[in-house]
Amino acid sequence: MRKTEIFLIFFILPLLAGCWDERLLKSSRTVYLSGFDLNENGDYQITSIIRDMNISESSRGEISISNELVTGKGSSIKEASMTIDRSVPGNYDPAKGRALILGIDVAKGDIYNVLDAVYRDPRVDLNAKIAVTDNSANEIITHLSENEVEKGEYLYELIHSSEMHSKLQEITLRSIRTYLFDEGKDFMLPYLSKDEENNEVKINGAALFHDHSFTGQFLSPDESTLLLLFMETQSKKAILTEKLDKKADESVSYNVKSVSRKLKLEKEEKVHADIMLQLEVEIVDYPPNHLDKQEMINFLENRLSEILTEKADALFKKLAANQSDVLGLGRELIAFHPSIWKEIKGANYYEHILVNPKVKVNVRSSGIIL
Amino acid sequence: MKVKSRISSENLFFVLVQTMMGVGLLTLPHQTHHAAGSDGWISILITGFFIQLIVLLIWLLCIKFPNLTLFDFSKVILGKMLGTVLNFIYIIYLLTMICYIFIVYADILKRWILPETPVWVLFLIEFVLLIYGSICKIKNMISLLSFPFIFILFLFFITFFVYGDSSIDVRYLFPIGSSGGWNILKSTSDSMIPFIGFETLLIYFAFIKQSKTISALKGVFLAVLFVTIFLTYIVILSTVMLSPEEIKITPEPVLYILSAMEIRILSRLDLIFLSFWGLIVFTTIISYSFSVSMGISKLIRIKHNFAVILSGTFVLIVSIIFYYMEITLLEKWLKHLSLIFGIIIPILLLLITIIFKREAASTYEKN
Repeated sequence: MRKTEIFLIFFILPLLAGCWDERLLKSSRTVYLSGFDLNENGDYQITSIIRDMNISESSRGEISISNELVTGKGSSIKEASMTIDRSVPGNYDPAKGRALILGIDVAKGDIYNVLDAVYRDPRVDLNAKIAVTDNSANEIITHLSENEVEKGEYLYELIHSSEMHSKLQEITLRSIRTYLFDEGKDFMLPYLSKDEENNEVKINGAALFHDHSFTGQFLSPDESTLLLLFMETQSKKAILTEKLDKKADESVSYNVKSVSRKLKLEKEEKVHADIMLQLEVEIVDYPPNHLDKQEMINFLENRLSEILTEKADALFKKLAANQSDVLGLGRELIAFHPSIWKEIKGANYYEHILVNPKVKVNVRSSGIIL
Repeated sequence: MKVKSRISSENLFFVLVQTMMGVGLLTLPHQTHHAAGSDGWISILITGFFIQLIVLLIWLLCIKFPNLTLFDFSKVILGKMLGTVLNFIYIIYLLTMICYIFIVYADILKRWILPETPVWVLFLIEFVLLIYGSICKIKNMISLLSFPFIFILFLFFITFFVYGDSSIDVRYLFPIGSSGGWNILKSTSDSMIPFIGFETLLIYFAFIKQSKTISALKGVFLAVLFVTIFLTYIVILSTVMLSPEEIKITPEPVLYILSAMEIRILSRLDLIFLSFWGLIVFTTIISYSFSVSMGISKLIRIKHNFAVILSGTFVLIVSIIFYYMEITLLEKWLKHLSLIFGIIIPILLLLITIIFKREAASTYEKN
């Protein structure tokens, strides 16, 4: 009895080693950053940065890291990556990519065409970030490969820190698929551009998407923060600055602590969405005056509410013009007002929705001084 | 032939939970969504309640024949000839179930983590573990099955990491009942597949101490309740995380969600989930093969250990053939098979027992 058990255990050991699926670091070429472009004749172009680790024999196993820029073309993403595979020694392995960049032409088409191959591979890091550029992805990556040391990490951190400050919607490769397949929701992606003056890549704002494609319009960081507040998905920090008076050059910065939203949907001629947003804010920067008097606080609250309502109005007009339902009103209708949804559903349902935002600001704290 | 070993109600709880939790877990949200849309969780709850009733019926059947397993009392109820036939088809059914689990397990492993590994290696591992786990007395098997319960709790805790994701949207659950009452009821037949395993009670009830008292049922009820709640939780989690159209094209929603989760030191939680899940699948295999070997050893009068090896070899060969020939027959028939063997036959047996007043003692006097 004991002997058979021991025999079985020893028998199974060689099978458990899993040598068939080993992937040696030395034979695979790990990609840290990829970009997708679409050229005029409908071919996809992939640009990737491959990181190499060279363990030199002469200087006692010292490891040096070098980066290589590769490109490949093909009529599908997989074909393009096979082209790259043929041109580099070792296996081209896109699984570790921390960031993907979509060129403007790709983004304006159906972006799922590009992403499909990614989702079919079980080894892909679904936590990667995606961004859209105002030019070709190739250009941005070439620039990054020349000027930044960390490349993929650099872009990832750039996007990540913007998300932390509620300047961008938190989107990864996984969650973007959820939005793509949701008929009642749209999303926004980081909008990258190359700053010629400072010679660096920066985030210009958030690119608005409708259905599967980029609308061509983007929100400024402040607008996108406001939108995130309306979605109640802001991060821990959401700092906004408003000019109280155009002439006097008085401005106030505040951090939004918490948000509560009341949403009312009514069907009249159009579907009216009345959104009442209550913000609890903390004043973080207000040099002109002090908050030691109740009148001052009231003034600030009223003025901020006014400004934000105005801004929100403009913001929702912009969204309506692009039919980009980032707020997810369509989903709200499906979930709680299925009868209204039945009347307006379709690709352009957002035309039938009229948003009427209202913001109320409550000052809750002002740091450690008044 | 009366069984001699005894197990307690608590033991039965572990055995039943381990038998029911199995390969269905990963694909469940996809299947329920297919059948009942966003109301899949309601359908699971209804099925769970329904299974409780079936379990009660199986208990009512089994207490008529204390300390006899299905393979013995079938002969008492149906006579020697028909009883043997019934035993035979039950054995075939249980073997089919093991084959199905073998194939699904190998398939999921191959698609998710081991794309290059030849399938026969995976089958061989399963085969060895099946034999290792089933060559034993029921007492040993119970201790083997009780410990991995901890891994089910692990699975549960792993899913907690998901809540940090900002794309969670509770609205995906609404409107509740949108698919219509009839559709939800109809879908319960689909959501029965993850509950398969309760039919082994036909065998395990024979081992329980004082099977006639209601306390014997306690463990079973709790087990079904536990499985129902766990499955409902998994379904709700997947529905909230993924948009409806997305679940339709994601065969393993749970793994897909976890593969995107990242905690400080681990970037692929799905791999951890898969390795725990593997253990849970093995407990299902062991429980099934233990029951089937008992049936085989009674049918052709051989020793239990030999029956295990026999059934293991049979399953290995059949599943390899099915896998390489790409026969998907099993999946299609699974629903109907489980309906027939888990529900219809036990109910028929119970009816016959009641109408013709079959009892264990009377037949033994005749012999």
